[in-house]
Amino acid sequence: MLALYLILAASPRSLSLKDDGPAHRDVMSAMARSYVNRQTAGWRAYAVHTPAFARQTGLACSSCHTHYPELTATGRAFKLNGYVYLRSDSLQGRNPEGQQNLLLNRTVPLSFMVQTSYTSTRKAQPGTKNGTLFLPDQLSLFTGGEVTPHVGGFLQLTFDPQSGHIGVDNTDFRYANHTTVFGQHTTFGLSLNNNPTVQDLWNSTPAWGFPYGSSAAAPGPAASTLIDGNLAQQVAGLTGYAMVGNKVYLEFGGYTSAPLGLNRPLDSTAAGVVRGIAPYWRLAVPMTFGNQYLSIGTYGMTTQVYPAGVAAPTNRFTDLAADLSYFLPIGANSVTAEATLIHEWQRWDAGGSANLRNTLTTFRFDAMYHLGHRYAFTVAPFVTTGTADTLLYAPGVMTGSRTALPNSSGLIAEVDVMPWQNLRLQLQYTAYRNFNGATTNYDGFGRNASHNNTLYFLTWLLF
Amino acid sequence: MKHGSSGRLVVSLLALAGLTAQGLAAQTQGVVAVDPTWLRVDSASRSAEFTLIAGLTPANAGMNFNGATAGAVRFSVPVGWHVVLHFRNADPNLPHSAEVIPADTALPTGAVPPVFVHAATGQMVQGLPSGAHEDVRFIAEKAGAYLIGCPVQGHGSLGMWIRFDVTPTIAPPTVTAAKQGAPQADRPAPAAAQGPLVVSPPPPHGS
Repeated sequence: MLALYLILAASPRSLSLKDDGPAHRDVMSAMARSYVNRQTAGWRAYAVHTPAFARQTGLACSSCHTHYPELTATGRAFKLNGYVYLRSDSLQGRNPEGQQNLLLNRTVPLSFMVQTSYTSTRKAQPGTKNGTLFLPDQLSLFTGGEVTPHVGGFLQLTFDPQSGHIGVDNTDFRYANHTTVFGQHTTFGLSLNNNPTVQDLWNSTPAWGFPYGSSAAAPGPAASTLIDGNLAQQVAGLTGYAMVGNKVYLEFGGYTSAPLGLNRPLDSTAAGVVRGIAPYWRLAVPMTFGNQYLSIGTYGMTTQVYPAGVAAPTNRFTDLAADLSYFLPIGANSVTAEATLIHEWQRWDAGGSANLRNTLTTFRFDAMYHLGHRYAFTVAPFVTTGTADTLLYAPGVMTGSRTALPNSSGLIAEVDVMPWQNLRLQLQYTAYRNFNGATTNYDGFGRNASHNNTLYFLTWLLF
Repeated sequence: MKHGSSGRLVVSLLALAGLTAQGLAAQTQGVVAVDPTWLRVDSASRSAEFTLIAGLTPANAGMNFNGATAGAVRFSVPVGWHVVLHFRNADPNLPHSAEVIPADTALPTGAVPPVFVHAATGQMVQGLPSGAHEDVRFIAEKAGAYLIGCPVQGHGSLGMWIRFDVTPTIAPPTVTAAKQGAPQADRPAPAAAQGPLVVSPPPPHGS
């Protein structure tokens, strides 16, 4: 995967949102930096649904979210139906035949998110000052909602203070309608989006999975699977989906390269281009037991990537994942849990790896106890393991691996306080047991995994 | 009570006291049109069956029971009667559920224990998905004023509730309609902590 990241890094603009800044630049070569930058991009999972939806639907945030962006049943239904539920006043139009042909929300569908953060690692990153304050950490403009009675969307524009650039973040526009299949109420639709799993209804898949906010200033594990955020905003995809009787959810579609900031059509100067269409699939089976809700499922995709240009041998990445979502109400409180297991088969026919074949496996789990809608307490273990590869995981200060292994594991503990539904305070601590293949001296330059333990305080303002 | 049980005096009271008059008038005055088939009464077994349809119409963007919001339909039964709510979610967009709660306390923003044993659908918090149906059976064991509301977070606060009266008299069960959205003097204010969002009247949804 190193080659993929090197290639993606060939376009500075394409990486403008995810650059990790001077701290990394001081200590890493350009190649290694791009690699870690992309990995860190996958590690971050920012973005939420928006107050614009609350204005459109008349529903408070807590109707659709436990602690955002985690969705409730109402939130999943809203998304499944194409963000089209509308209670606010609208401007309507009809053609001469009397048919309605316009339904515009009179409330401007805009909202903002401002995040401010403080990050401190247990040991300062080499050559840097420990303790990083971001104001803002992230600044996002959201728009979306109902466009027509069956078409709606979600678009996030994000300003990244480290790069100073504004870019298109998560995007999902969809058509949804209803029919009856085998006597079951069925919702079906199409989603046009720019990040595999961003269209998903459950928070157990990568795009909207835990952690919902994590530090851009702290070092992150070097390796993650392709579907685990590494294609975000680099591709465009069209998928078709159907929820049959709220018992089975099926989705199938494909993604192709659509990087921002590159010349079009893509040519020999492009990098990390997906060959043809990368198929994506999703199956989920939601079920209820009394007041408990459980969904189990699988998702994945197979992607061939040109290391450079648009004609050459490709490297192939096949991701197969299983996931689980759980909800248990306890009076006014509740417990939610999500888990995902992603296994990736890598075949490096085009080079970039010491081995022809590698594997990479990631497991994440989070359990969140919601005390009303005001407090939440979360523990979330994570582990990544994979094949040793001296080229992909070479020694390097802080970001490298002495053992040539991608293995990382640890635990995230988090406390969230929401004094108001659109104001969230998040205190998070990430403790590493292993980092890039070892517990001690993992990078070959004397740094231990625990040195990367991270305290992260984040405030979210949404309005 | 079993559906269609014969040998009993099953009386479909098609035009109960205020039902017909108000129901017929409803069509032209913006009042909920009460469908006579919503109520079935078996006086012999002292049971009443009420068809409770969430999202029957686009009113309140689907957040209604039988087309009614904020108490615009009133279902009354004598104390001690067996009640069956034939709940169905006809809202194509959102999950809904139902439960019986007291009318003399602040309107809850989410699920609370029902006032009578078993007087709630399953999945109160999550709601039943579009097209789902469930029968709710309970005994109206104490006279008083109650509400049948949707306990899915925020739905009740937005007006998804109707009235349910348990009367100390022997008058037969009734379903009556009132003007949609009419002020309810005895209706307590929603809980302040997470009150409803104030929205303008919804437009007809031209889907």
